[in-house]
Amino acid sequence: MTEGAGPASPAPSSKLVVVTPLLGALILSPLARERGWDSFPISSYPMFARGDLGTVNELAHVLLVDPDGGRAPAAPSLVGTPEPMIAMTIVRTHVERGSAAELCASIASRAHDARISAVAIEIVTSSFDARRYFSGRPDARTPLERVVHARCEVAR
Amino acid sequence: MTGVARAVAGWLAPEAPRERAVVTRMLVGAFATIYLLARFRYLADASRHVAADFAPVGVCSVLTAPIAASATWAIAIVTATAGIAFTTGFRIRVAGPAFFAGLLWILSYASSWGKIMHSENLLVLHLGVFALAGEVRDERVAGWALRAAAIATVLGYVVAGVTKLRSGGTAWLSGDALGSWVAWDALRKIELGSLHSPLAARVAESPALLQGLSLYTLLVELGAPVALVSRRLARAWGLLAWLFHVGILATMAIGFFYPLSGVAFAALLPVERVALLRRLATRADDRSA
Repeated sequence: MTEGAGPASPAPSSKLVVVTPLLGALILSPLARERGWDSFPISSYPMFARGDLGTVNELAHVLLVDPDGGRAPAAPSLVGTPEPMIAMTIVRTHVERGSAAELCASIASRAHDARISAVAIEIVTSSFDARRYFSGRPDARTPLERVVHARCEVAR
Repeated sequence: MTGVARAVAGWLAPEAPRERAVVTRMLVGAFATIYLLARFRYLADASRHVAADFAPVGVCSVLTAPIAASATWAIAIVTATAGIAFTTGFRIRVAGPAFFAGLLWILSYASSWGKIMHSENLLVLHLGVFALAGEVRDERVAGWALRAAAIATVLGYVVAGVTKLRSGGTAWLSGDALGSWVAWDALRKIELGSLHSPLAARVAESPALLQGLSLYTLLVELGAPVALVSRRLARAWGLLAWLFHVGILATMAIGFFYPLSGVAFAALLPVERVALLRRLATRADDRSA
């Protein structure tokens, strides 16, 4: 990538030349840390790296219960963020802390404000088999197991 | 300075056309500014979060609690202003470091609520390099900035590849790990009420395709250092890496917009040959002189 034409330019500041190895060492430093270490903007990029994920996994998420008892996923915006992965983290954190009821109430309030037709909100942890989920069978998307941590009504 | 030290310094800061570094600086600045403005409300307004969810990362680790909403808005406004100045070449010596510091803070803060946005890492690192290069006063500074940005790009991909082998090992070589992730990512996006790729299910059901895509991923990530060998290899690798991100978008609906835009690879390319970019960069350069 060197362009060698023309008279030689003066050497750049030695400070600049020293910066590059330091930057490189910083970017490589996560490799010397424990697996899964993560930060910003330096990272080991652990997302999608695990090899033992398998096909059956648990997911903490939010369901909208319609008047007929049917259930549908709640959009991340109802959880308080446009990002689905942040929504997932928020739900999981509340479930782990034992504050699912509190989260449920805030989502029900947002659902009311957004005039969503759901009659109730459920905070759940579902266990899914990813292979079965996409098999095309009529019950493919039914979870293997579901635990309801909180249920709250949406004000009409 | 010994011969070896001089050779190393020469490799770290080769002579390169100033126009190339100025165009790349302008592209990185423009992308970062547009990214900030396009997501301005999301990045400036953290009031939607509850304090208990605050998990500070990076430079925000100095905080023990979220900062006031007025402060996050003020930082975003000042940073956007610095971004416009940096991109257009106005008072670059002040605007560059201010934009870098502001964006580093804003993006770190946005990643401090339980989910780190890895798609922004390289953008911030490149911005730091060009903020440090300032006005790019000669061919050696130009070469330094372009080489430093290229090294940051290459090493980021290498780290991602090594992590996959460390954490996934043979499951990443066989395609099993990728298959599990593609299926699980699509499933959770459906159940989280978000967009998912309609291709995910088909890809996840094809072991041969998964193994091919896995090996391609590892080739791009672990093979990234070839981009530092020659300009031709740099261009070839840049194209392979761009296609890798197109594949991620198509199969997992995950948009790494910085590499997808091509700007992440600008330091590897003769971008100054694009007449429009050269004209715009010349104007910015005149303003910064």
